[in-house]
Amino acid sequence: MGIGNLLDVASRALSVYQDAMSITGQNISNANNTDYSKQKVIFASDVTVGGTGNGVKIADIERVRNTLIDTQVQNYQSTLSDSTKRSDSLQQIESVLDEPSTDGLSTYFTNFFNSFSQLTATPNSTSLRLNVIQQAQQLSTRFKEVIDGILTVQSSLQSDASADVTSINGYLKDICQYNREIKAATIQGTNTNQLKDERDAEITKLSSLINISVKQGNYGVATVNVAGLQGADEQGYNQFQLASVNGQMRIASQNDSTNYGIVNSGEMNAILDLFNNKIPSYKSNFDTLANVFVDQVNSIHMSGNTLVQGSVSSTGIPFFGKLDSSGKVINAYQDGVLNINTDISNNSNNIAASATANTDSNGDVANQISQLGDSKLTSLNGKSILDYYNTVLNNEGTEKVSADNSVTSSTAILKSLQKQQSSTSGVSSDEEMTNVLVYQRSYEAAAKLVSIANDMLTTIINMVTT
Amino acid sequence: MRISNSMMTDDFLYDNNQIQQNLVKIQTQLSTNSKIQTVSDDVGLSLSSIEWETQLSKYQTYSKNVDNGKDFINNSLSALGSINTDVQNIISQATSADNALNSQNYSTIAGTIKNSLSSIVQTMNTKYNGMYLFGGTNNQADPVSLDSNGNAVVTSGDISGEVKTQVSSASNIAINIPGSSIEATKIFDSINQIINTLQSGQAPDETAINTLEASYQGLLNVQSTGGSTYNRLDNISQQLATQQTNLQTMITNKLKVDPAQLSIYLQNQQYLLQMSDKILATTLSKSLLDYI
Repeated sequence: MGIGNLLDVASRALSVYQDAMSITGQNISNANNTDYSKQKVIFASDVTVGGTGNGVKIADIERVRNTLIDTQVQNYQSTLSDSTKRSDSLQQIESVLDEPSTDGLSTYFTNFFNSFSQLTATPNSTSLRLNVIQQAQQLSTRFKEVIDGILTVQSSLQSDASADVTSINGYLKDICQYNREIKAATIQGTNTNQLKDERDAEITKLSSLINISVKQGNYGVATVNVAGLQGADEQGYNQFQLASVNGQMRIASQNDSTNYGIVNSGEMNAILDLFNNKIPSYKSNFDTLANVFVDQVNSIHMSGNTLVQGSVSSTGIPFFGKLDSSGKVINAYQDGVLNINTDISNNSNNIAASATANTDSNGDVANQISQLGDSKLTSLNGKSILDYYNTVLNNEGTEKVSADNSVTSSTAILKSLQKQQSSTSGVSSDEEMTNVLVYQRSYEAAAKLVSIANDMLTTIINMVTT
Repeated sequence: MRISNSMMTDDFLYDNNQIQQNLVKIQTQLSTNSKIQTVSDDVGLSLSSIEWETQLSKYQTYSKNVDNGKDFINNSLSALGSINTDVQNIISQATSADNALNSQNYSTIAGTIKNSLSSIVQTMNTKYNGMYLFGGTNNQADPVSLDSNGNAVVTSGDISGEVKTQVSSASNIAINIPGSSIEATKIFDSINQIINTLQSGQAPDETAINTLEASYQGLLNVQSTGGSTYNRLDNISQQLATQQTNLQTMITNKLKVDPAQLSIYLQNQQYLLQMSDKILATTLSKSLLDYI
């Protein structure tokens, strides 16, 4: 090996450690970038054709990543988003129900029945009759608020679903674009680490919205499927839309609106489940409660007699709704409103508290209505009105607890996985500074080699001139 | 395990957030004096609390009903006492008239008895809370009246109805003394007969006086029954007060917070928060960079 070759080796080493220092600089600069994967310089010995050493070279700039952990992070991110959305929405419903408090429906139901209990002993008292009407109106208003509140949550979920679909479409478009750039760069032999980081960050965001599967292909291309349907690769991307099937909200491909995704995780799963199943179930339970309540109250009330007006009392008057031409009660419960019979709200004397005609001081019917609150009703599966209401609360509360528990466990698991991910791919300042020192020393050594080679050349030149 | 920069900050933020969540929860419990704010805080306890509050509200209503019933029966007993006094006076006047020395005073005695009869009629038509005390469930017209001849008569058709009040979920108590139990027709017939006899210048019929005395005994029995009803209501009132106190105590024990215990938890969490901040401030500020 000649002295010239020695200079070449030293010169190459200077260049290699400059590049290595540049990668370290890149790592340090991105120490707080959560999407960034630490890059590692892989050094290799440069060997000539003849087999002699030719110095050092950078064999690869490796993107330190564990795809197994990445997949698990995506899965649990999906689960966590599902649970979080579920918990948040159920919390909104809990706020609407406002139990346990003095403003919950249980208080208003109890006050309604208590008002009839008080009327029992003084059935001709105008103030107690007005109290019955007032309690019924307050119950009706609160019931309407609860129903409206539940429907508002459902409506906001639809808006959330639309926003999520827009985001999903945006992510898929971006992923396709990144795939194309990664493939082109790989073919050209340029570094794709940055592009992969940015693409993977988009995939992780997508996984929080909906269940996905990712397959790594040639040239670093990632093929993403969304809810069992094609999502994006380097050739193209799918776009999704919301579809309504028999009143159920579904997600479908824009190209083929009959091709529905099977959503089983992510925020979309919580939204679709709450919108399609849970909230309609709550609404249905409240409708059942209201219908049974007005039917039972009406049934008793219609058997009673009003105060004597003119010279006789009246009977057959429903407390809720009104009678149609065929004598059937209509509009007792409509669109979340318990409609108090206007004949009663306009004239409290029409409350039928008496069991017998023309006996104003008889409060037996008022007593029967007051005891309705404790009666086990076959139309409510053998439960009383308050028991049935408590069952509805129990279902909602249990589902909220379940969602909260899922949030806690998913958060713990995800945190552990992210820790592993960060341990693998995250930047350590101490480690990078150590590399800086090492590369600096190596650079100094290479520079020293150049200096020595120069001295050797000078010696030879001096020998010639002498 | 290799420790990266972000791991340290992520761990800190997670732990810090957990402590702050605990702090918020304790602060909410302290400020509301309640362990639970929503059903999901404790589903079982929430549903139980709703049932307890419902039961407490019912007890409070039953207490109001009982108080109202006590007032009603008390007024009825007071009125009945007044009627008894009037009947007793009438018997006394009628008995004194059965004496030849008083034969000149029959007209005066008749007038006195008529005044007492008017008083009885007026008392029997007394109302409380807009309801006749002795009208049964019939509230359309005065139960009794004086006809054009000055005779007292029962004018209301049916005065036998019981006015009931609810004192428990499945129990009602009649709080009135029905006019029918007073046997007003029998009393009035006797008194009317005594007055008419005196006005005709004759001594009162002994049979009428005896009948009135028998009715008077009946009134005393009714008064006694009414007194029993009052006592029963009074006992129920005390029972309800005890039940309310017990239930309220249970609600307090189950739902209300222990401020002293929570204050200690709060202090502990604040201490942990300070420690967490201090540790982060100490460790994050140092790296190899500081020594190069």
